[in-house]
Amino acid sequence: MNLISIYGVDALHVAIALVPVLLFLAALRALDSYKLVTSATVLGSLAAGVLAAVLCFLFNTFVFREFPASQDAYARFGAPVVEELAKGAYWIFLIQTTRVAFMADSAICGFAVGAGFALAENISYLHQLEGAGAAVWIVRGLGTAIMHGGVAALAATISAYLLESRQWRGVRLFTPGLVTAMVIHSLFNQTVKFPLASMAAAVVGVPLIFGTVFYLSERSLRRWLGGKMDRDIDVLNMIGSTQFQQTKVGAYLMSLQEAFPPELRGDMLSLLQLTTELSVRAKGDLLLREAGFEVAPDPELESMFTELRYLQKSIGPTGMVAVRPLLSQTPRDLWEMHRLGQGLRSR
Amino acid sequence: MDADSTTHFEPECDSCIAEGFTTLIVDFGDLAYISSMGLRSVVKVAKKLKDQGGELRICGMTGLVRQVFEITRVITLFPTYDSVDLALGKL
Repeated sequence: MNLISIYGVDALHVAIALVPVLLFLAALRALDSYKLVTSATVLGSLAAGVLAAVLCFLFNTFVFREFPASQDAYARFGAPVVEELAKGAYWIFLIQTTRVAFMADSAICGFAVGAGFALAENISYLHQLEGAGAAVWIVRGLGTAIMHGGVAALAATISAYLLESRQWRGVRLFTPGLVTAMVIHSLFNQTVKFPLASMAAAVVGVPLIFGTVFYLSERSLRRWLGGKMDRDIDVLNMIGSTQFQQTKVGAYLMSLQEAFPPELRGDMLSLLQLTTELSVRAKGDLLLREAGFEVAPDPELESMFTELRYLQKSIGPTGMVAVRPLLSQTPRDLWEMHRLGQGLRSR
Repeated sequence: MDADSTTHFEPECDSCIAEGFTTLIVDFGDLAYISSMGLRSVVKVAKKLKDQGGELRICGMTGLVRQVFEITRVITLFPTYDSVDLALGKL
C-alpha cells in the first residue's frame, strides 16, 4: 500500500508537495562544512516537527469547531503563534541542553523541525484537497513548506546568535526568535490571496537568509576555534611548566591549601588538565573536519571520560564549587563535552 | 609557530608543492610552541600533499608541541620521526 493508493492523489502532486522541503534540507546539510549535526539529530528534529503538526492539527480543529466565526482571524494571527510555539519546543530543547551551539547547526535543526511539520501538514492536505490542481501543490510544497522550515530555522538561529553574542538565557534568549518567526508566519498567512508572491518570497528569501547564516556561523566558529584553542594550549603549557605556582591558576590552587588536602588539590589540577585536553581534542576534531579529513572514533575517549568521572567524584560537590573558576563552562564548552560524549556512545 | 610564523610556513610549503614535490619533511626540533593557526596550517599542508598522493613527514617533535599534536590527533595524519635523517631514510 502506498501514498497514492491511500489518498488517490496524482504521484506528481505528492512529489511536489513533499520533496522540495526535503531536498532543501539535504542541501543545507551538504553546504555545512563542519557537518556537526548528526543524522540522528536531523531525524529527531523531523519527527518532532511531525508531532508538533499533529498536536497543532488537533488544537486548530478544536478552535475552528468552537469558534467558527473567528476562523479567518485565527488562521492569520492565532495559528502562527501556536504553530511556532509547537515547533519551537524541540529546537529550544536542543539549544537549551547544548546539543547544538552554532548558528548553522541551529538553522539546520530548526529547518528540519519545520520540514517535519510541513510534511505532516501537506500529507494531511493531500487527503483533504484530493481534487486540487498542481498549482496548489507547487505553492504548498515550495511556498508553505519552505516557509515553515525557514521561519523555524530563523528563530533558532536568532537564539543561537543571542546565546553566543549576548550570553542571554531562558525566556529572554528564545523570545526574540520566536516572535520573529510568528510575525513572518503571520505575514505569510495574510498573503493567502497572493500565493505566488508569498511562494516567491519564501523560495528567494530563505536561501538568502541561509547563505548569510552559514557565512556568519563559519566565521564565528573559526574565530572561536582559534581563540579558545590557543587559550587551552596556554593552559597545558602552564600546567607543564616549572613556574606553575607563579601562574594565576597555580596561585589559586595554592590558596585552597587550608580548605582542601594536598591530594584533593592534586585531583583538581588533574581535572583542569583533563578537561583542557578534552577541549583541545574536540577542537582537533573540528580542525580535521575543516580540512576535509574523515574523523575516526577516538579510542582514548572512554578512558578519559572514566577518569573525568572518577576525579569529579573524588573532588566532591564542595571541591567542584571551589575548582569551577578554573574550568571553562560556556555553552560551547558544554557542547564540546556533549559532542565528545555522543561520539563515545555511538561507537 | 604562531600567527606570524605561519604566514611563512604555509607559502613555503605551497611553493614546494607547486614545484611538484609530493613529500615534504618538516623539522620541528626547535619548535617550543604551536598555536591553533600553526596547527591549522600543518593540517592544510598535510591535506594538500595527501590529495597529490604524497605525504607530510614531521621530525623532532617534543614537549608541548608533541602533546598538542597527540591530543588533537593531528599526529595521525602523517608519519613522525625522531630526526630528519630517519625521515630521509624512508624516501
